[in-house]
Amino acid sequence: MATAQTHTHVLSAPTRLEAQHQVTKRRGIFSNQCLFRIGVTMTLLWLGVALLAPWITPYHPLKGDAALANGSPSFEHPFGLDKYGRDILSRVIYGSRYDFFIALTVVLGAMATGTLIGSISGFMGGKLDNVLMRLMDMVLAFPSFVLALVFVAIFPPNLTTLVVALSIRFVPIYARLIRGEILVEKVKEYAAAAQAIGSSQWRLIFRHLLPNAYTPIITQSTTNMSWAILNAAGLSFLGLGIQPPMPEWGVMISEGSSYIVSGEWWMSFFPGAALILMTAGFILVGDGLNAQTEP
Amino acid sequence: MSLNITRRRFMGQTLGVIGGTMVSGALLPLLAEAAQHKSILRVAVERDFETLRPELSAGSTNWMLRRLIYSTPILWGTKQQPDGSLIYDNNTLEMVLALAYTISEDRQTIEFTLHPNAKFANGDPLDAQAIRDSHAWFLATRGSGQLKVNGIPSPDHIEVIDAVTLRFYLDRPVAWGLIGHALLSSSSIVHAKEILKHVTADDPHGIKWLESKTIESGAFRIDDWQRGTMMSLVPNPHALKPSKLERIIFQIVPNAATRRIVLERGDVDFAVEIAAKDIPDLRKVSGVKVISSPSAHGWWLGMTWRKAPFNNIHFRRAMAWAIPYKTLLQVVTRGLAEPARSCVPNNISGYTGDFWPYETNLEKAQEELAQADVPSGFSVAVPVYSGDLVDEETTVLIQESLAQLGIKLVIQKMPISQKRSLLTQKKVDMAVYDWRPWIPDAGYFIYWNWLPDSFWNSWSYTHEEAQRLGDEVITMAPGSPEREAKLRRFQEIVNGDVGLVPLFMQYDNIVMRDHVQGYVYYPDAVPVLSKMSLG
Repeated sequence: MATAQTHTHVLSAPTRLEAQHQVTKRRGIFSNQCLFRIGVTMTLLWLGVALLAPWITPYHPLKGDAALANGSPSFEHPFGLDKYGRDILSRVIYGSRYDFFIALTVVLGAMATGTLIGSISGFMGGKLDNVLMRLMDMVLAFPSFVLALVFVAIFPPNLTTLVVALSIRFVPIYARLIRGEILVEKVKEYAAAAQAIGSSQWRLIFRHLLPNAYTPIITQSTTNMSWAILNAAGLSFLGLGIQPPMPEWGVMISEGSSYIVSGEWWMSFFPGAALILMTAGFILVGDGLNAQTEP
Repeated sequence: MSLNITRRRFMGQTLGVIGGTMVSGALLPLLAEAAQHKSILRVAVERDFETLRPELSAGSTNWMLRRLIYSTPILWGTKQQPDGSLIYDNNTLEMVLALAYTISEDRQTIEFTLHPNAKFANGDPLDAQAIRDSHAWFLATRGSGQLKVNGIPSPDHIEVIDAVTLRFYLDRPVAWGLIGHALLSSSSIVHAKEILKHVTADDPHGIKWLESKTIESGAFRIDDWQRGTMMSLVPNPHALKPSKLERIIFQIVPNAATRRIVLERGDVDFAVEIAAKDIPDLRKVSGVKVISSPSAHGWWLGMTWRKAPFNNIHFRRAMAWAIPYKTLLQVVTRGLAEPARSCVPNNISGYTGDFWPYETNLEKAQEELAQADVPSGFSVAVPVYSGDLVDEETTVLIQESLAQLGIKLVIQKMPISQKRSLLTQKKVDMAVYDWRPWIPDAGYFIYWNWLPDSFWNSWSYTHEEAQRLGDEVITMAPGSPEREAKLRRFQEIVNGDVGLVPLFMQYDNIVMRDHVQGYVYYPDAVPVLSKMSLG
């Protein structure tokens, strides 16, 4: 005859360490949430600036007055003027459209492609998995600048080529992330249950596995957005991507860098500050998401 | 003898000792520093030298090195300008390896009498045979090129009379047949026998060895070369004209702004490729001097003749009226240029600015464009050298101006080699383009740019009369009234066709510390560092 065992739980006061951890965690959560909110605010602000740029720029971003070239910041031109006499504030505002667009398209493109490759690779396994992952390794091993130069040699240097060149660089990151998640998810019971009721492989991957596996790539995407902007800035200097006279922050920074020595600091400073603020916004959002999804 | 020490004597002697100590204590380091200044010239360059091959065109920095390590038979003479600076003299020659020369009446035979004691850096004789071998090597490696342009298509046109006498038989009496022997691209004397010791089946001319090694014939030899960082040169012990410098150090400083800083600080004595925007500020810096020389380095807007609307005279005139000439001078060159007014550069013999009536006038541009049958929304891709501020800024300003006429220029930045390749393959519809003739002669410029087979006739220009005239002046005596008249007529025709839209002639700006002496401006803008000293 079995005897029901009574389990008596004694509620004990938390230890000092546990108490400290709880306080820290509360503060940590609070801190992360605060930074997350700041990041979201900054990102939304930049999105607003980018969308409203044609209406809020005080001057035409492409037209200048050569007589006022290299003008220092003033009331009429708070960010100063560039070497062609163009208003830098207007160009910084307008440039947000390009950098935001680059960030979004690069990451979305890489995410979509990488997710597809990683899902198939992780689910199918075997030789296909090996081949795809070695391909990803090759792409990762290629220096991104060299890859971009190869592209510009083949394709015309423009925004589309820039986006494609950068997207390719980020595809392996997403592919490997998703592959790892799929490997974990596909052995779970719900996956077996879905298979048992006759779900096709594609349905299983996209309807069941991916929704449980996507969280890391969301976090990764915010980090990659900042890297996309920074890489675009560097590649534009090489002549790939945004062509003059379009206002892209990276090009503006590189053009202005040679003027710092002669005291015309504003040409690089303001687009550089804008770049920092936009990437900081993305990073804070990413960190916040990461903290919230941590167990 | 009694030692008579008085207060006065004691004070005098003590002060004398103290004063002497102070002076020598301050003077000795100064002397050491002065000695150092007098010995070593430090030069900031923008990139490494890549190769020691003399037959390649590898940029102005490489040419500067070649002037040091390779000699030529002659050089341009020198004269002093009113401001005291030294410039080349087109009417005189400086003998270098040669002691004297004669030229036949038909200008097709040039004979050099060479210095009897000339030697390579390893002590081998630098005689007539060595110079002939050097030319033969050049001809073998390139097959065509500057020597052919100079009228020497094969080694058979070079005769060794004796150890110190060398004769050149030109296939035609080109106007620059004599001065061509001053050019580095054809007349840098290499130790051909030594080079040919290093040939292989894959490398029949010893080129691989010459990438990093050579036996110098010039005033200096390479002492140390740390690729990407520096190169140090010391005097060639067999140099005919010893330099006042004990050593020359090239320091590689890739960034132009950094080169400016190191020059201002005195870390280097001489710096190349300083941005035009920094020149006005550098003129005000104590201890730095800037020498700005009007040059033959011209910039033009080129348009193809192969297709519409570029081959429509009204379209070309519209472009000529639309260019913002003054803005280009102000913004791009910071005033360190002069207006260009012809299809050949200013500041060379045979140039005339009489046939260029255009100035910025958008109304006239609109009138011409209306007659040009240009489709609405017309756009054209324009290649631009990536990293070349002058090319980019010029193109952007022209783009802005043409946008007001409804013409869209789509800028495509690309590496310099890519744009040059497109130009030489005649695949460019419109571009800003620059060219500097090494020989300051309009006929020389026409040879390279305006004849049907000219290497740089990127725009496929054809005009029977103009090109006949251009061909004729190549072999006419320089400075002759007949030649001048033909050159004038040539420019009248080509400028009337708007063959090129002349934009500006960029000054050559040389920046150095005050104590650097002896700089001479030559038409190829290559400083001859061996002639310089530190005062």
